[in-house]
Amino acid sequence: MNSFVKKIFKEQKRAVALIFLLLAAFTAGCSGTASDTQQPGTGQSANDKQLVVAVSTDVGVDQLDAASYKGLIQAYPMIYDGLVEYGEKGEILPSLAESWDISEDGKVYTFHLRKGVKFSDGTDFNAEAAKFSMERWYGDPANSSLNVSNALKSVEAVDPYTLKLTFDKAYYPFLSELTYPRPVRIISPSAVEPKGDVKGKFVKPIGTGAWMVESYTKDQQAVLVPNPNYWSKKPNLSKIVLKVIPDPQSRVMALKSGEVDFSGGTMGKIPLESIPTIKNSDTLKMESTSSTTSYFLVFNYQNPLLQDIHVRKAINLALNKKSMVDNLLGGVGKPAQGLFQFTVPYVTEANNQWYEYDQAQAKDLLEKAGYKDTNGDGILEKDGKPLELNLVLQNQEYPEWKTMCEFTQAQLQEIGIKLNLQMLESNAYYDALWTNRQYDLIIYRTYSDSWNPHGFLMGLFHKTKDGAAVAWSDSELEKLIDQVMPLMDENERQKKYDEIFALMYQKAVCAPLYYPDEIFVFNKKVSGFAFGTNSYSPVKWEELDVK
Amino acid sequence: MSEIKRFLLKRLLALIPVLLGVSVVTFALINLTPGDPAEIAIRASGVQPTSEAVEAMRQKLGLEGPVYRQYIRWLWKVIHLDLGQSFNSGLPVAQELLLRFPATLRLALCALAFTAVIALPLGIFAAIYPGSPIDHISRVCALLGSSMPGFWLGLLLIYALAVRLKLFPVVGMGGIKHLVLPAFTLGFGLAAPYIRLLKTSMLEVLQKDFINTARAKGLRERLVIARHALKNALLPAVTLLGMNFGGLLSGSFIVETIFSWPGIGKYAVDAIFLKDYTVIQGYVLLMAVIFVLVNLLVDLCYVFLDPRIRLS
Repeated sequence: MNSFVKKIFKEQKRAVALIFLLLAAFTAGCSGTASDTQQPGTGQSANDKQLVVAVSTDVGVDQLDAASYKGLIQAYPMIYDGLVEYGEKGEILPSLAESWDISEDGKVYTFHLRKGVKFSDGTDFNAEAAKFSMERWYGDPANSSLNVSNALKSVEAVDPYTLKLTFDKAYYPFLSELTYPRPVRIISPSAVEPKGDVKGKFVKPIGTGAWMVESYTKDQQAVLVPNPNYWSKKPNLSKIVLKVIPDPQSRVMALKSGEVDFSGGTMGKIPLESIPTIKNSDTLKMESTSSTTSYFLVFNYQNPLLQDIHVRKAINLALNKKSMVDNLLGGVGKPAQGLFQFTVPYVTEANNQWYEYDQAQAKDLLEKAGYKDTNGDGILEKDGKPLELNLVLQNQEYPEWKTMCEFTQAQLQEIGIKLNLQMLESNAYYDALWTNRQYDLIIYRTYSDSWNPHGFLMGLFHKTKDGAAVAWSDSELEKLIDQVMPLMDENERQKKYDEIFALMYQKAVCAPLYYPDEIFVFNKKVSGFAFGTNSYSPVKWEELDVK
Repeated sequence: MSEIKRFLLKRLLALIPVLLGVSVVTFALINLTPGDPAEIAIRASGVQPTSEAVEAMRQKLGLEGPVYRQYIRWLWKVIHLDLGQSFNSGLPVAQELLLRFPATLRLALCALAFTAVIALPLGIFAAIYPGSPIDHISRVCALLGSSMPGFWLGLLLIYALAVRLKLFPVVGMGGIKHLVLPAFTLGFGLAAPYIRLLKTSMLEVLQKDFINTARAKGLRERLVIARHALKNALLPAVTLLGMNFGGLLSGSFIVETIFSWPGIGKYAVDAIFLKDYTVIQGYVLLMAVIFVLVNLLVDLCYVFLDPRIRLS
């Protein structure tokens, strides 16, 4: 029978040898390559100013094609410049285009490009290079959420430093969309194979930005060094190591141990519960500023209970958001006022009005709407039916939503509304929000940065090609949104947005909850920290320095 | 054909229906969960899915037509040794899996070494000296190992040994120092059942007649334990080891995430959230092969440990 096995295992000595062999295998497994044992963040010389930044996802350098959506979004603006950049409150700043002219009908944009700019590999930047870059993304169905992609009809290099874009309609946010981190930024024609071929295969990320990639290890880290050909202020640092640490608690630990110098923003979220220990730390410093996003509750406009404006207003009035921020969120962030934060373009003190906390008024409104607690269970009824709603949430991407939803549940209980929380896995949650509308209320966030307010309003409060608006369907509101988009005059736009925000307030189309902050934590040896203008360029990397 | 060859051939042939079954079940399960993979792929890149973009993505990913056709298309490719491309990254699945597997293998082997170092002495000595301090220690270790969640132990270890004492790095993959904490976290949790199992089976074996015989014929106690008792007591532990080692090789999402270990476990779980069919299918096939092979190895080990067991 099993003579082979017997032969091998018969003698005890051999078995012992085998065990040793196994142990040797264990040891081999345990021993790593000696070369990569050196820890980043330590042992730097005066000339080697290295900053180790913890990020939550892989940087994806091997796929960081300027015209794609792959990899870490914050890496794009570090490597690639746009024709224009996004400034505070949506101001459009020159970048690779020094200036631009817009035709009176708003359909032709002529960009005057910066001279003497070179890509990080030495290739010249000019109108042909810009044209090459643009032709790689416009008109592609993958970019159909961008008006600048759908409406762009031709790109012309008029002379080496003049680029003309012709659109088939006027749309004021074209320039905002050209500041996006992707897919609109400029990549070198030498970054694809065959070189200069619009349909060519992406090989490596070559841009005109302040940084270029030195090395990359998938799922572990990417090392960026200053681009020697950069046209603007050169960075102080000699190296930025983007180290992948997916777990938020581990990021905080790595900051505390000094293994990592810097983290935060949406690229490396700091958990709210860690903030007290960070504030008490001798080695760490925290900086926070208002972000451009806000969390809010979407009402299902097909639900008859929520079609009653009294109910919508009552829900808004019942929420003591200040108490939520102070007592449950450790004072981080701000209670929402209107739907958008003040950092969003066209949002002003005057037009950002919403319902202040007033429980008594909330109860009055429900009574006016005909609700009464007839059976004494604390829940209001009308026509024998209790005022009961479900609130859908997910906590995979936004763990703090759970706290906020529980808070909402408790607050609505006080005015006699029974709220049932339904926590879904994130895909099921998005299905509920975008596809099957299986909710009465659902918590969501506004978009951020240069997508606000136009992209968000078009996406959530305007009908889509496939059907009615996602968040709240109101023909009057949709008409106003349609009117604002082609307005090329800044003052007229402001007036129109005032009308839009006023209408949203009057009709209580949603329930704004919370304005999250953008938080960064870094080692005290880091100096020169300054916030960038948005979450995809969250930090002025060029200003940073280490002692 | 010798018996061993026939045995191996039979087991390897049995792998084919196993792989087919596993892939069908996985494919069905993925399709039963909510979410359209094309839409998820677009949303994962931070873009709002429009109907044109979803349609274009669906075509690109080969998601047109009924589910069974999608499965057959996938199977046809697999038969030609092509696991397809990841929906999310666009890279070949085989390449993505092979890139991450060595990290998981390294972690698994070291975790197993920790398990052996913890469980063998504790289990054996607890049986030989019942009621002794080592017995109590073994009981505490078994209790802690099975009741402490990995993420908690991992974070505690990071805090104490990496942040406070700075003995080890907090995260990442590198040399031996990087490996100690994640491997110990995995190994300690895994050791708990072995401590109990070894102790019980040792106690049982030590009561057997052949142990008395061995002692009666004047063998030194050390030899009685090592050569006669332990070899017999290891049998149930080896069975369990087969399952656990397969499990370790499939990666640990939690430990890999906490320690930023670039292994296959986190990659697979991320693929599940993204409904990245091709990656999930490729991963499941790889795991099925590993489980079958590890169990085959375990069966071969039985023969060595207990000559009464026959391969047939």
